Amino acid sequence: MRLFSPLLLLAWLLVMPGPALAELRNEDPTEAMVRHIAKDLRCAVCQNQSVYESNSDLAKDMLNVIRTKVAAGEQETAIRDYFFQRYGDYIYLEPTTQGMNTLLWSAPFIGLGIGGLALWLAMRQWRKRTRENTQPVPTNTAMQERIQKELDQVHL
Amino acid sequence: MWIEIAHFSTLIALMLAALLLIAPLIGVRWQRVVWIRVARQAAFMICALLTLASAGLIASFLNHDFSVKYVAEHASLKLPVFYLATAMWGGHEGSLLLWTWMLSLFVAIAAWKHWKTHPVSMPWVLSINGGLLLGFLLLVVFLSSPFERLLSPPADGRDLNPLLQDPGMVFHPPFLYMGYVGFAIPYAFAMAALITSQGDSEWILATRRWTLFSWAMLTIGIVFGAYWAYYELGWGGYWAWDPVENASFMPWLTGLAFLHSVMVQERRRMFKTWNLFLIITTFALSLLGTFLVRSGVLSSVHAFATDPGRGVYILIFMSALLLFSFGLLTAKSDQLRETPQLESPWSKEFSFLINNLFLVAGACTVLLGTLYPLAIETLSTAKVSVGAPYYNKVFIPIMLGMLALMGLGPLIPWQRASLAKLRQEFLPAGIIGLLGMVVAPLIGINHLSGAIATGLILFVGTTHLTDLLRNTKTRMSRESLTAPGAFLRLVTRNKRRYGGMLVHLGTLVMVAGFVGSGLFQEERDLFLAKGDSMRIGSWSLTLESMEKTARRNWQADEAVIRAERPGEATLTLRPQKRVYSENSQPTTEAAIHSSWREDLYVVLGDGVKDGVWAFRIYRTPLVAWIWVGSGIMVVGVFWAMLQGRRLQRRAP
Amino acid sequence: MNGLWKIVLLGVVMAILLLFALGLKNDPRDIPSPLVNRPANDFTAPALEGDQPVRLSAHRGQWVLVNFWGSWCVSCVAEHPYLMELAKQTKKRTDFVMLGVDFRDNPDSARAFLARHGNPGYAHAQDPEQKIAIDWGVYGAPESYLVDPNGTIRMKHTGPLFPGWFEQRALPLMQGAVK
Repeated sequence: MRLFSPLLLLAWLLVMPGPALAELRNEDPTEAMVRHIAKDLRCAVCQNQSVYESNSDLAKDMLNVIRTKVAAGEQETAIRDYFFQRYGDYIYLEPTTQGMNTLLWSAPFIGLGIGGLALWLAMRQWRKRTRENTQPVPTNTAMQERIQKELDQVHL
Repeated sequence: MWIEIAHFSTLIALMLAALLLIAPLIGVRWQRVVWIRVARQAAFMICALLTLASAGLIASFLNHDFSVKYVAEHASLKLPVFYLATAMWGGHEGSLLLWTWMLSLFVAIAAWKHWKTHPVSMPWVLSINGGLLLGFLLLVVFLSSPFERLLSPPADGRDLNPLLQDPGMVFHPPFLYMGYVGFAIPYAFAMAALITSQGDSEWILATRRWTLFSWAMLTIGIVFGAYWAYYELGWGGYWAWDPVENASFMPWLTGLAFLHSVMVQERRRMFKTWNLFLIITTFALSLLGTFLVRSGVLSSVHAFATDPGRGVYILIFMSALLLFSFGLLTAKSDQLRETPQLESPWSKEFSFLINNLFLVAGACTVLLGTLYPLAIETLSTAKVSVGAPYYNKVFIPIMLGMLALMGLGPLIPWQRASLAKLRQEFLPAGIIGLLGMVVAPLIGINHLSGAIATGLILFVGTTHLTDLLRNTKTRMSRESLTAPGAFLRLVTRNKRRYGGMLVHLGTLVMVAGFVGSGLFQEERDLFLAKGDSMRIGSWSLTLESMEKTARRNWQADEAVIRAERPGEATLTLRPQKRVYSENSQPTTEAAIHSSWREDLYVVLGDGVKDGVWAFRIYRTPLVAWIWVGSGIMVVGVFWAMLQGRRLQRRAP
Repeated sequence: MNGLWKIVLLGVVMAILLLFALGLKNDPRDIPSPLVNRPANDFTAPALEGDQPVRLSAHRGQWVLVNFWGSWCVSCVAEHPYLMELAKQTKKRTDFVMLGVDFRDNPDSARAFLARHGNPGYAHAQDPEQKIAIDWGVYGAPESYLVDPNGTIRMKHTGPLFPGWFEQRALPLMQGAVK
């Protein structure tokens, strides 16, 4: 039943004449594209907010510039480029993948790889040590023994 | 009057902090316990004095003492009492005093609680915290004093920033600071362990509850901040990957890594250096978070007003602290006599290490993204932004890996597991997870990361439930209990383990919230006149009327919107656009209808022409799950902490 | 392997600290403009005073200082005395003109601003929806651009122009171009 109710509502709306003044407003069809573009552009005055999310005057006006351009049929890349030419790299919230930025994009994964490799190598070394020396590390002080006893009661 | 009392007690606290730094060193050097006792008393007195100082500053706010510069800049006669008291941490100077006061409180608690149980570490813990307190009090007294008087006091103050006049302001900073500051105690114990070359005795027991507590507070602080941003800033989101948000997130990640890897040290006495590194890093990142906001190095929506002298001092203090800590770690680590042994990579120990790898890689990613713009700006003339899209693309894959590892947690044994056993253990959960990934796109989760996350949630959930079921059954047969009885016995007997599992389950709830809200948010931007309606999701919204309202220090345009959904009661939403009397920039107050399924979020924009207003409407699925999930997490942490206390009492 | 991590750790810590030390000098609000040494985007806009529209390309052959300001901008008040002085000082030069772009403003408050703080006498273009400002990559006020006789932007200055700016910054460029 629930699945069909939006459909029913739609049908009802089509059949029934609405009140004289009230209108069902739809979003301007270009608005989705405006949003898509504005979300990736940084509002320059408000620091780290996108043009779409910011409340500042500059962001609102930039949003209107985007609206005008989308309405005029300009392509997404052209509009992004328009702002890039005026504000530089700074305007893109998502840094480009050129030049130094390749480092920014790849470093986390390279780091993860190197870390994983180092961990693997260390693990092999530790295992070798275990095979050679099966003796557990001796507990030296009475205090440590008691701590260990406490801890052994806890099933982790 | 009050402000002078506050000022003088802070000055005395400053001198006592110097004593707290030096006295234990004298005590240790010449074997005089009395000096360490003196330091302990100093710690108590600093706490009392700073409590008085904070109370004095709050009293000045409550008395509308606008001859105090800080009060004049952050309050007004019209400001409600509630916000008047919390305006104390509404600016840089006061919030720094709050930070320092909390530190002194925690130091006093540590000096009181661990005095008998940790005699070897105590002098060093006191001295190191004395150094921290001294560093902060110097900053409070000389470079950012909230106690300054104005020669000609204004009749009324400049009022608190409207965005801060919100319940979020009351809770977010204190919890966040408690998290940051709380890590100072484990940090001091870790440093004491290094200095005394006892990497594996006292400090782990002493710090277990502190780290759990601080991490829980940090979680609450961060989530409060996110929730506050969500309902106050009016952009329908809760996390912007802003430098300051990142700064609070980094110690959260490394602290979480520590909470896991410290278990290996407790159990197997391995990774001592690594654990020391993690806890030092966690505190260092906490300080970084505090300082980034205040030094003016990075730009952020949350940044305080800055001046260069302060930045230089903060930098010197940070450098001294970091170089001392990490220098000591590298110099002393060889004396910890570490001989890690590992039977098999298929063991809990090793899975914790991989967990640490992912968490630290995540923290490094956030650090890189935060500092990269600074590096580019400093080393070249260009300027770049690293915003949310970067983190979404880089950080999310790392965290998905994390999520997968979480599923291993409960079922993988210590030391060694046979592959056949593992296969048998993980086969059902693995199948369910994979099925989830395949089915997810069919039920509308048509994003790669969303589908993977869905499968992983199922995988992790299944392994956790398997473990719960199995252990309950064992107890049922072994102790001949009923199912609820056995379950209760199970989770109360081993609070730490099941607290941890509860945290994991809370995380799953949160991840579901992130998937829903991050990937399936719907927005509409449109203009409505009175009587107009619009649709979003299954909702139908109608603008009933526009009204004007006012309170003591603001007036607002308010839209009255009727929201209907088939089969549900009609709601009225009232988004506002407020103008505060002391501030010309209007602020938006979104109207939010929250339910477990989705949030309806209405923002009132500008009036265009007569009677036509711009609106922005969001429909965000599962946002509420994030708040609920974080609540479950915090409950889990506190459950785990309860066991800490029992262990503590029995420990020598 | 055993000693390596120590070097890496201390290296990273020191690098971060060094970055902060160098970063203290940065102005987080200063964004370098990629428009420098590019042809300026021409604009034609109604003037703040008088009916004659303001057009940048009408000044081809002259150096043009384009100053973006608004009556809402606090630093513009601080900058204003220098603009007054500069306008007076360069009045006789035929190779240099000044233009104002009053953006995100309503003309009445802008005129009130000039009445209160003094009118330097050059023309101001009205840009209520900051179309020109965005076209010129402006993000704050005041910001000034120096356009050469060929219509190329040669310099951008963010924030208030300081006394002596013309002699120290503009003249060297202008004389270099003459040579």
